[in-house]
Amino acid sequence: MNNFSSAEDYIVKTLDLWKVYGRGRLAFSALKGVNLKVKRGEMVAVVGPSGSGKSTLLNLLGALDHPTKGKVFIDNIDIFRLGDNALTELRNRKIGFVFQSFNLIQRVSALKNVEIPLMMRNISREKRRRLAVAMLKAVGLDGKFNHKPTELSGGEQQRVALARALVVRPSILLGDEITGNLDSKTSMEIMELIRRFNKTLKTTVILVTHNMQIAKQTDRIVYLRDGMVEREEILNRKV
Amino acid sequence: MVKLIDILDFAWSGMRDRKLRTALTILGIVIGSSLIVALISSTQGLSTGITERVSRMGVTTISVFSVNPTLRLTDEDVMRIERVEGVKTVIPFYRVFAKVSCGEKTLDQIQVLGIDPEKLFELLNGLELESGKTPSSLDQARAIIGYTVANPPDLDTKFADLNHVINIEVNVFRRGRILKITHPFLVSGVLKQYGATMLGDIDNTVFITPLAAKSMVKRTHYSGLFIIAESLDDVDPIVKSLTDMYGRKVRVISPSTILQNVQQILYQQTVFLGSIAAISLIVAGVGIMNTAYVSVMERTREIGILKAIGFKKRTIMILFLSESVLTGLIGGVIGVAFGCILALSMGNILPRFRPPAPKRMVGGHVQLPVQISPELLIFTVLFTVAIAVLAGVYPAWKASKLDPVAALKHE
Repeated sequence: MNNFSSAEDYIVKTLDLWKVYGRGRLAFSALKGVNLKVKRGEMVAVVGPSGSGKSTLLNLLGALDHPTKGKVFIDNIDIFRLGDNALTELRNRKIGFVFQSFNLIQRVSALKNVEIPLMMRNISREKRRRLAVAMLKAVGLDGKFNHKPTELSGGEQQRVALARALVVRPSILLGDEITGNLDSKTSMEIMELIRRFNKTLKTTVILVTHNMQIAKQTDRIVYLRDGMVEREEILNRKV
Repeated sequence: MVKLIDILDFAWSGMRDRKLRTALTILGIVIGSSLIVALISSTQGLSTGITERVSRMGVTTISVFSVNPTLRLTDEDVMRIERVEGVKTVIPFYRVFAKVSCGEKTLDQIQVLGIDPEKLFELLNGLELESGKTPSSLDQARAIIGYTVANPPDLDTKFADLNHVINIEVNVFRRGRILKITHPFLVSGVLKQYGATMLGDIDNTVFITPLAAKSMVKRTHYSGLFIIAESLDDVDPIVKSLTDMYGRKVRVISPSTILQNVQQILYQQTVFLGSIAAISLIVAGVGIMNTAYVSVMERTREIGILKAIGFKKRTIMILFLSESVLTGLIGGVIGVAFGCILALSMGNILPRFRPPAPKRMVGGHVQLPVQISPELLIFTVLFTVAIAVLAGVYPAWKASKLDPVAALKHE
């Protein structure tokens, strides 16, 4: 733990993170000892060619997957030492996910989609509805609460997904190619929203992308290649 | 922990999303559970009905019928049996089916029993006259009529009443020819409603004295004998003596053995039909399992999303299990309601299907009573839900075990 004497500055840290798929000759190392530190409130882009291990890294940071070796600390908690339920709870309380393909539940309304993460909390239905409505308004979807995802455009669906990720006020927002299915204008609108939430809600943002235009709107770019951090580029030093 | 109401709400939205599949799965459950209710209710009703009917004759009453043309039961047999230990009394009777008319009105296929009027009341517990009085046992011109004979349901007016004359027309076989012979009788008594017994439907019977019956049918042997034992303990020894005396030429029936047999048969029937119904419910359970499994496959991505959002394994399992339980519960409740309707209509329809000429057999008109017990209804719903739980557990467990990363990539 000596390496992390100033740990409180960092909301996310990885320590020699390895992820190996398969065994023996067929074994493939997606991550080869990644060390990454992200400050609270920072907005980081992880870029790299496909197969560089970006998504694997994101899945590990979001506790969706387990590493072969190494550690992930979130708020100084060594998350993979937690039990299954505690890990799930951590995911619910501290992490918000946004995906390339939106991943909304198609059969329920936009409002219901945003309410789902709140179902895990012990709050009344009325309060849940209020929070979800406020969040949908914040992402600019006023008046489309009862629309089902199929009745919304790609940009609108991603706004719903963003609202769903942020409604629980997570410390960290993880995005996996979130503008991959959107045109450039809509992409910029979504990025604008994320930047706003990063500023107002102090949400730490980690985005995986291969779109440099998106990456350049963050504070720092981490270049990943062959499962290792190749270099970092600081665009905006945050205090 | 997610609230139950939210779980049910979410499960319900999942079921509504695939309306036809949900409806078909529920239909399977409805068929299974309604069969259980309908089949068990009607056999239980039948059992109660028959028990009631047999018990009316008194459990110490034994009936003897000749089943061999060479054996003709006569007064000699009556006297012989009366000497058997434990026998209290022997009541011989004639039985024919006849056309009965009163004025212009005619009733076909009415049972006419020639039996000692005084002993009739000893034989049938609770039988009472509505009006009039019983003729003496030597009277050859008076008859007592049953309630339905006096008031046939398909006639607007009474068929016959006290002091009316009725004509009984019987077929008599003589010198190779069938003769129709009519005898007039004065109605001296009308019975209160009684119902069906071992002696047939008492309400649809005309009672005359054995003497009158003997001269009417022109034969000296009886249709059968009723033996009343001193006590229940005497029944079996008497049955044994009768078998020793007549061998297989007679059929000896005692209510206690009938009850035992009937109850055993009906119990077996209940178990048998109940099992068939239960199997159909289990098949419906397989339907639930199939639906739940397909649902898990189809919603793999949704499961991945829920896991990413922070739904615990247990919550996901409960979520999918509650879809199965809800399917079972809805199917069970509809099925039980439908089963009651089915049982009641079976009670009305089934008696119309009967073997040829049952009127000539012991029994007569059968009404199938239906006995729907609340316990059966509750049991059926619980059983249905239990099957739904069993069927839903594996798919729900599968859902909870899905790897979130793989599930999110699922197309």
